[in-house]
Amino acid sequence: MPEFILRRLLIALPVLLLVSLISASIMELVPGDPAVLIAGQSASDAEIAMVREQLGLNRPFVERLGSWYAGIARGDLGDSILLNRPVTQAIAERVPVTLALAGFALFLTVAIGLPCGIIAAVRANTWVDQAVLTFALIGVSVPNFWLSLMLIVLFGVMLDWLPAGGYVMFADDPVGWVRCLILPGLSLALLQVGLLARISRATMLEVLQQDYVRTARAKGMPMWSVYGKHALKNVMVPVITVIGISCGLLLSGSVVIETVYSIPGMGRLLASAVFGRDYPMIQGGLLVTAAVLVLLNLLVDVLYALIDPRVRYGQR
Amino acid sequence: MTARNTTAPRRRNLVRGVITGLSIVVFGILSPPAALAQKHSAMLAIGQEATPPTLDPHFSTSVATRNVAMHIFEQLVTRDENNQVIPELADSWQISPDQLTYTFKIRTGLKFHNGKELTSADIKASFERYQRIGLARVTLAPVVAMTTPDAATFVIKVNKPQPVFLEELSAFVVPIAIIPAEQADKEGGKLDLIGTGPMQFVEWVPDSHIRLKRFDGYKPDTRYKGSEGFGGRKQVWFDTVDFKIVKEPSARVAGLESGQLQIIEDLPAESAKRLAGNKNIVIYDLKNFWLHGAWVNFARPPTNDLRVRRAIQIALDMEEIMEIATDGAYTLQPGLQYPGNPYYVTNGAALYNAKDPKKAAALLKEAGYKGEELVIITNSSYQSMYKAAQVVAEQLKAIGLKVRVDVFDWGTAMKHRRDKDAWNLWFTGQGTGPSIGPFTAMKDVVSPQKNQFVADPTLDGLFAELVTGNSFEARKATFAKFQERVYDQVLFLKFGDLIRKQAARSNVKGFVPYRIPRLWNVWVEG
Repeated sequence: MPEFILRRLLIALPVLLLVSLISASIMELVPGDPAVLIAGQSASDAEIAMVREQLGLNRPFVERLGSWYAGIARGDLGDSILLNRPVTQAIAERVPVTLALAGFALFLTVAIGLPCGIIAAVRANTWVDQAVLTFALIGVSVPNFWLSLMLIVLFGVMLDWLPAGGYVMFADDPVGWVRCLILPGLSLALLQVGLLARISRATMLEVLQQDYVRTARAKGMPMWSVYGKHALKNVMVPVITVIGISCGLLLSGSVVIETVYSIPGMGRLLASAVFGRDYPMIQGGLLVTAAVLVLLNLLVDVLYALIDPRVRYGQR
Repeated sequence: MTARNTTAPRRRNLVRGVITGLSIVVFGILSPPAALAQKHSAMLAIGQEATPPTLDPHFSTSVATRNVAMHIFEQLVTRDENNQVIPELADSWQISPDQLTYTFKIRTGLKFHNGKELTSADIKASFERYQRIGLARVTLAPVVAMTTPDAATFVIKVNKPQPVFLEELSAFVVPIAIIPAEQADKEGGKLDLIGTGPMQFVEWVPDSHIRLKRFDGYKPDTRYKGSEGFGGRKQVWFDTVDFKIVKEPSARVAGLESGQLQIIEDLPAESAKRLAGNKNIVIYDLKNFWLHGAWVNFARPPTNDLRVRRAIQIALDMEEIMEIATDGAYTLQPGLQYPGNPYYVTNGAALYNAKDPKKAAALLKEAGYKGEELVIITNSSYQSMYKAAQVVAEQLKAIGLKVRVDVFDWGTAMKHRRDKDAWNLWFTGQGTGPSIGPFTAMKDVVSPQKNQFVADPTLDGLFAELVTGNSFEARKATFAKFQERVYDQVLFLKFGDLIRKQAARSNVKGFVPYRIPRLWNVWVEG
């Protein structure tokens, strides 16, 4: 296993290199640069050129990219053009926020989606099953942008139970931190809850029809033991795949949710960087995001091996 | 010329010795008396729609920057509520008879947020930095020397008489903010945020908030009784002020309704209708916030032909465009300045809002229009510009033009504006320019900027005439000719003026809407 992990980490290096190269090239091709935005719509060509020089954007693309890679080798992702601080610092400030949001949404996804799917499978073709399926359908159909606004109106304005937006650090106010995360976490999680409920229901139904489940039932094992010990373990392999995919979607979905709820996370940082053409920030942010996704995929593969004894890595 | 000659002696008399003290007293008397019930509160939160690209006031044209920076920094001279030049850090000024030397006396006993006392050396260093990296450094182009005879005197020499020099210095599109001399070597965007304003910088958590706190060492300008534009007597009634970045309009409104935010800028017109009966919220109309319109490209067919441009101009129904673009928050008038501004004129009005598609179609036929594609560039970042472009496109299709609408984000749209082959009509909203006078408004169409890509010697001549006009009347007459030329040649299609709505909780007192929300002299009751 350690060899497998090491090999996967080594393979990740060219992946990350490719991601950074593609992201830098795409941003170079996209029209507009920070100098045009900073100089304003009434700026002349000379004024834009002056700003470009101030920002160091007058250097050729290859030269800028080269010095960026040289910086990475020293652990330096460069300085953000618009935030007046190092990219690593800006990311370090935002990553915990997004991880907290995505983590909370993941918790809700698993805590709601998995039991719902399993209960629906166990009570297949009953009203419980229909209710879960309807809930799941709503979950995958409702745009999280709209849902967010509705939740804000209901819980933030009309009932005044939860903050309508914003974020406080856990260290400053733990209760406030949880309160800030509830509405965005729910908004972000609902789609994934629907997906997970449907996948776990379908998988559970399949597992329940397997011979070993029938045998376990036939020999008189208690139902909770049949479902909990035998069926659930086999359901977990595809479910973990879906959870792995969900993690990626939760991270990318945070762009919209962070904007609606005014949460200063990675998603909003990257969106602002793209609209402001903050090249170092975009490249650094995408590199870190790609690294997180690579690590998540690795984690999912390792979990396979832990759950399913048939999966063994590094053995020929 | 006659007007210039007859008024020149009077002006010389005025500038020779008259300091602005008298006008200050007058402004002070005319200002509304301060209310009596002010009290201190711990915090005020204002919902702001955009993240500033930087808080360096010399290096940004963004409204989002000014929202915050104008509370931290001050200018030597600024504008009052009616757009007239008033002193801020200057105590007074004197202009030499030959109009080549400006001598400013600086107010004494003023401190920067780092505790250092303000002297003329700081003023000079700030001007020098502005000359080097200021985005509107062209303002200081006539300056040939700057000296500081003593700690309270700052002298500027210019190369030739500049009748509008003080107006330029006091402009606030890119304000000449005064910073400590030690900061003058900082590159654009790298400034430490230390000013002389009534609030001092605490922290900026990008995309979350910018926090300022009351500057206890601030010495209010007792020459005034209350706010005067960005100047006047400023008193902060909060320990801290948070500028919360809430980009989503509905979330901003929800924040206001729930009380998390006490003031918000840019309340959507639709929300304003809903909130009209809410006793907890007061809605303010900020008239003339934006002049909505489109630049016209003279270099690319079919708008290289004046007849086609005229057809476009007379075809448009401005009421329909503005109604849809702004959800009803607009006014219609032909001026490139706003009613109430000293330079407001209505020349060219006959060509504004003609809404005559039949005549336009006939004109198009007469021009021999062969179906060349008319490209409109608009953006999705500003919804009113996006919607205006959709309506204009339909109105122009109705007269027989083949129209294509390209929608980009603001950054991409800005980049394409520099490309003369990329567009025929480029949609925009002119904000501060028209509000602070004709000079900024004119710069867009004269050399070297010339948004229409083809230089117009007549306009260039008018601009030179404007900046050297020796009397206000002469300059206003020149501006009238300029506006007439803009309409006659169809350099710019003006649609209308957008009313921006701002809102506050009803217990917020003393808030007077302005181009940039001012949070001094504002307090919370109860």
